[in-house]
Amino acid sequence: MNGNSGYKILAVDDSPVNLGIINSVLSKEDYIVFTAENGPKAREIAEREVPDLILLDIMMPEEDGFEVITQLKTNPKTSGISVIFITGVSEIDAKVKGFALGAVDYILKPFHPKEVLARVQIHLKLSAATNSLIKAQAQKLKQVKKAQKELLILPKSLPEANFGVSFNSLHEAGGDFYDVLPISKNIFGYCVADFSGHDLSTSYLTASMKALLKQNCTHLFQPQESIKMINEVLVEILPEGKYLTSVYARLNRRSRQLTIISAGHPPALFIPFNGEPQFIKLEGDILGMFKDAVFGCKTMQVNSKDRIFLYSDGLIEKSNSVWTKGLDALMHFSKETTKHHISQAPEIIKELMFKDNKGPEDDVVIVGIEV
Amino acid sequence: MDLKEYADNLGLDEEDFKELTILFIDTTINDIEKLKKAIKNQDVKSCREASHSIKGASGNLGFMDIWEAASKCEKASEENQFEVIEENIIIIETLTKKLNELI
Repeated sequence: MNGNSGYKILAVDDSPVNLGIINSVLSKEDYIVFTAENGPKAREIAEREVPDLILLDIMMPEEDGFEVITQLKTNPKTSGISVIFITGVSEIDAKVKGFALGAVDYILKPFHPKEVLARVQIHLKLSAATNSLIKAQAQKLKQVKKAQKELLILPKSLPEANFGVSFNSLHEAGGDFYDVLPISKNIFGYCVADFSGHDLSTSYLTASMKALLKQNCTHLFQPQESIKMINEVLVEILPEGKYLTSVYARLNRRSRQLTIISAGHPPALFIPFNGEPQFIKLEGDILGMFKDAVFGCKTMQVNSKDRIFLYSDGLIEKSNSVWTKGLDALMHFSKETTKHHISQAPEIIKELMFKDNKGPEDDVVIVGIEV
Repeated sequence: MDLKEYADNLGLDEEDFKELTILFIDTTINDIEKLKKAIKNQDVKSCREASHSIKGASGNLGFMDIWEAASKCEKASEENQFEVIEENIIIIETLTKKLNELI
């Protein structure tokens, strides 16, 4: 380790010469440089030092760079660290794979030390800008003295999103929320969230969440990145011990690609037009509690007329079915609604789920999406 | 070209560059031994790894003639052309000795 400036860089390469070059050029600029000649050592240093940036070789014996980044991204302590691949592999597939696994950039060998320095500097700047954006967003939301109730979007106001909704808010401080976002012409985001705690008014939380979704669920960011940034702001603004669960679905109607992100939320229900329904069960931390939270993520190909249902736990906990049977009942009743238009399906599901009693005793939201 | 020119091209201090060159020579001698052993055992994977190691380090230090020979070794490893690897090992050894004289 050399230097004494603020930024820490970890270089990972099985070649001691390459590590020496990187160390030499970055140390000269007062970066604190750590080096590792293999994956396990890199992961150990990353977890201990939490560097600002990692320069990672792909082709290493035993544990290659793809394996290293995969493990880094699943560890809450290291998942937020920017990784630049530095490699002699120039094939397009390797590049795409690296980006898909969460790399922010590529440097091809042979590299010029000045290029390494320039790329390190630009990615540190980007990282700093993102952090300051998150802080600025948090600050803006903190300044809201009295939140205003946002209008919840209705299917008829966004027919291209092809969705239906059933929303029952029984309590003034009820915690359910949903939103549908047009991200681009063919890409839509659908979110259901369930707030806990009563320190902030529901309207404030709803407005905050709506604003955060709009700010962060854009074409520029992958769904996981969007939810991660939203989480970082929520960690700043929510009182200690308060949190929310959420499920976010991003559907590209052109490529028919669906990505589901779960933050401690009940599983989304997927009903293929031709096939057996299934719950998309994902492990994931809750939102607003941990800065380095990790969220469950699944990307899948879907087909025309397939349906996805997002809902709050009030649907499966408070129905006439006992809790353990709530999911079975939901799957059963959802299948029965396939003959109905998607705009009507959520309301019918709610009625079927509560047909034997007076209705839900808690907030319930169901969002149905048809591809 | 002397060491200072190489160092200047990369924007590194001459002393740092000298240290890196010594390290390069040591690791390359080691890699050449690995290559020779791998040829003897007809071990394509080890040939490729050792060639890749020399290629990466030489290219980054600006020793492009060594880089070229190592690139040929790496390609030949993928095509099982052990005689091509042997020819290029001789080139790498000669160039590495010349480098050693510069220090």
